[in-house]
Amino acid sequence: MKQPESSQTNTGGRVQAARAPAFTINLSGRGPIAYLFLLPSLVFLALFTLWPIISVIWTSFHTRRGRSEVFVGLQNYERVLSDPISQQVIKNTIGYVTIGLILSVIGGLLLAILMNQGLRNIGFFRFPFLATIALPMVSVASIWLFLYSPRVGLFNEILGGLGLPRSNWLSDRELALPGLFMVYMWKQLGYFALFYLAALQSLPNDVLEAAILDGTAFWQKLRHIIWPLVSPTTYFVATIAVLNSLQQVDHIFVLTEGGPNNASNLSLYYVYQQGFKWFKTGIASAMTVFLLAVLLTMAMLQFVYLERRVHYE
Amino acid sequence: MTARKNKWRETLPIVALALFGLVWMVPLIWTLLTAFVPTTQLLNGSPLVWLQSLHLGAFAEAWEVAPFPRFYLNTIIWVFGLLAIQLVTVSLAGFALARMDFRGKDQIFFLFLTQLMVPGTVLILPNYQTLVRLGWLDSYQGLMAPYIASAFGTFLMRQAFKQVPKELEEAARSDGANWLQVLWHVFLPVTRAPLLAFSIVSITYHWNEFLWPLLITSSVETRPLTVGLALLVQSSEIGAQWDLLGAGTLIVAVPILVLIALVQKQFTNSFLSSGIK
Amino acid sequence: MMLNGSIKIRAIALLCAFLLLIGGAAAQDVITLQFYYPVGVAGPLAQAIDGYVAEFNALSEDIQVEPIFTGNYVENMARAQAGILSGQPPDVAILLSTDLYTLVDMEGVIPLDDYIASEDGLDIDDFFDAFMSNSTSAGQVWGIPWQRSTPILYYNKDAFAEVGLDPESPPATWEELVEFGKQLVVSDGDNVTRWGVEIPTSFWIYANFAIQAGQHIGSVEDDPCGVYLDTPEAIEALSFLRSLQVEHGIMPDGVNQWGVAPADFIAGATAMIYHSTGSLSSLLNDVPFELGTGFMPGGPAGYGANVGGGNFYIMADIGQERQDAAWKFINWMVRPEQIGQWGIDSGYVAPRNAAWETDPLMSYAADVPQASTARMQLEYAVKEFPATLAGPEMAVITTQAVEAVYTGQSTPEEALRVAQERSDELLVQAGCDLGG
Repeated sequence: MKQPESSQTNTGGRVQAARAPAFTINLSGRGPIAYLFLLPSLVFLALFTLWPIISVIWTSFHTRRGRSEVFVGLQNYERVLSDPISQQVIKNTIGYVTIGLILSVIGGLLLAILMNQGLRNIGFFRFPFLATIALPMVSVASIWLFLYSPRVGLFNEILGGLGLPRSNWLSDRELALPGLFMVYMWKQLGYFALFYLAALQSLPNDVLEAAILDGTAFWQKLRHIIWPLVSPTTYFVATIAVLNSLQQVDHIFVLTEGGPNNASNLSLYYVYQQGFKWFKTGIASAMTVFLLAVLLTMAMLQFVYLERRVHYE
Repeated sequence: MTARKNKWRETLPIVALALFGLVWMVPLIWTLLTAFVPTTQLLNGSPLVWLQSLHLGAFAEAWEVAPFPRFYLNTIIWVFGLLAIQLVTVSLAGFALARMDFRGKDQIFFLFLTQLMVPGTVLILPNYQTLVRLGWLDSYQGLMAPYIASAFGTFLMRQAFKQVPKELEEAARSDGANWLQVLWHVFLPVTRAPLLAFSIVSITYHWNEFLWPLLITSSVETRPLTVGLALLVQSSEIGAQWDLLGAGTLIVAVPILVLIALVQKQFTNSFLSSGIK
Repeated sequence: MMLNGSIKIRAIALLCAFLLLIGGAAAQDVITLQFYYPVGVAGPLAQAIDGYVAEFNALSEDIQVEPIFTGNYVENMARAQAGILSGQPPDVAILLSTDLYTLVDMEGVIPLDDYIASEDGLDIDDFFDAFMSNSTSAGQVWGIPWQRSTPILYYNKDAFAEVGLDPESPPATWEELVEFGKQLVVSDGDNVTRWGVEIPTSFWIYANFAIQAGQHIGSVEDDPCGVYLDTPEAIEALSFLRSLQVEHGIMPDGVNQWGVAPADFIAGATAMIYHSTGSLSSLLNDVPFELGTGFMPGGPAGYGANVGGGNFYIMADIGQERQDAAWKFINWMVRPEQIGQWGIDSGYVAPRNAAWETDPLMSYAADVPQASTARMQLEYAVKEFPATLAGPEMAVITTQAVEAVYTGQSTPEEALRVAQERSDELLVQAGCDLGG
């Protein structure tokens, strides 16, 4: 299918080339031209990836007084580490990311196994899981706002109908963060499942055929056969899951604004609060640097892992 | 006996998936109900009452209350404008990294890798300050700027370009074609699949983006749909009007839902091809 | 035919060029003011504002105002602050009256006394004292009241009648609030289907109860450093609110969100709410029962309430010419008939006496007696909290203390002690000398 297309355009290329010999001098060398090709990307990488990292480290050592920036050394870091609210935020974030990681991997794999079965006959059933991936988080959160609403929401209607006690979902200290988490999982589980689905489909058929729904045999196979086979995917999913959950913030805006009393405040929302609502750029920068440290450590691990994998392949 | 058992084995996962999918759909179905059934009927009536009182009033009102047509236009301009620019930058950079040798390649590669691991969302604060200095607040270029270089796209294209047979390139080169021509006439035509995959991922990601546009945009002329919807939800004046919010939510989400329904397979493949390699 | 057509085209082109020239020349003399306004999208309030601005733009030849709707109060303030710090401020903005000290501290706004005293001046004494208390500092006027409010009681008269209460006499004291609340609760087994009262978990509502207990949690004076959260009266007020949930069981436990309370009230899930007078218009439209309004209840120290809402500010660093233009716009907006109409459109309290003497507002007040409740309550109303430095963050700290108590996480003593410590720390950072 692709072969004729390429040869066709290839001929076109020859015609073009004959017409413009002057360019060949400039564009044929391998060295300089490579930089030219990379230039647009490099400019924006420098401006919006490299520079902000440097600049946020600089601002993390400063604080605003009136309209000017004053050097304060490590004060912002001390404050972030000692303030009970930022401690709570860090605790929330670690919990959110860890549980997110575990559930993304386990839930994603199980859903993928299920989808892999259903898939062969009726792809239609995948729609719900795909649809949520593609929906804007803001819409998703608005949807869940109805469900969680204490007096008129669906969840409490159901609980009440079953004669169970109702909950004050998003306004409860214990439930607010899990409430946000459920929204996130509802939206993203299908995404993680997709990666596992791809991994499963690249496995030999007979590995899976017998594996499904055989009681204990299923769990055995899952643990001893499937799990090791999909481990590269697991590593990948885990990385994506951590990155994803660290970036989650849209639903906080719509659902809880970090409340009650910071019970559902996460690091990125904290950066927003401090940096954009209260103009504590120093504090916000210090928290950002902590986030960067985590991400870059992960990057290093990833790099080492890739390196090793490349060697094996 | 075994045949029946096999059949049971075949159907059970499908039934399980269907049930699970149905549960998964409940929030969406509930949103449909809130949008099409007046709130008082929804809260006090039975499903029969709901069916009888279906109306489109909330959509008309939401459409009137917030300038959704303008928000649509803004989203389309920024999402597709960005994509057009990205397709150029990622093709060029991916090509250089895949097919050229030059000094500093490793360092540059590492720089791209950094962007992959440090998502723009984390850098909102310094990037916002950069935009202030550039005077790009409340503009489309301001919305796009942090995403113009895409490590993800670059790596995807690099991977794809690497798989193009060397002979094709050499044939074109020996005919005197320059690199740009080789890229355009030889490489891009055979890498449509990854280009499409990248496009789908980019469109979905930016169509849904919220925090960055919220901070950058301040006028109706630049604000995208997501920000418009969030402001509608937050607005205390209409905090009580669930039907209005349901309608607003659907107005934002329906194009994506339709897209998914239409190109489900393509969509799946895009996300897969993007992630795995 | 062809020739004809081409001439026509040329003529049109020429005309266009001419018009463009005129347009260009005229545009040079026009000042376009950026006007930041705190509302999400073009809701009913934004439509009203848009209408007024369009009217102003039509009347004024050399000044055009461009309203920019920037989200809620907090986002609007954040955007204005960002503009001030980056040297790109708006020209005129409606920001919280309590943002005054923060704005003055960052030299972002200008005092308006010269304009008030000028030929194109304003009778500032005509504005209600309670509103002006949040608009002046160091003897100067910095903001002109616009969308000003005060919390009031909204109650369901039908529900009152149903349980045998007098629909015309809402609870006037804390004790009556408890007593009436208990009568109004309807339960179905363990599930409460109608609560007596729902009081949003917000510093702004809590501050009223503290005043009723005898303690203003901020300073009533012109003091940017005064915060009094850990006093016995402040604790008593928060304990009272908590007792409505636990001891008396007339208010839903946990945090009661600002936006949820009116929704519940409309749906009949609660018989009373305390909410901003700014919600009056939408409640009048939406409630399927007879709507009653009343004062905040009297506590140990009698009636008490605080004001709230937004003022007009003119920004610094935009040049005299633009500031003059901004004043013209503000002065046009707060004319008695204009601001009276705004009161009718929005439900906010028209903030000056003269507005209440204009025909439209007088007849509206006669038709809708609920509209006068807030104005009458102003007699007992005082300055709003947190009129201090670091105001936006102070508000959140206080709300978090209320949340901690409402969710049973802390006792009122503990929560308010923590809040006091944190606000002291904030004040010191902002440059206050708290004496040790």
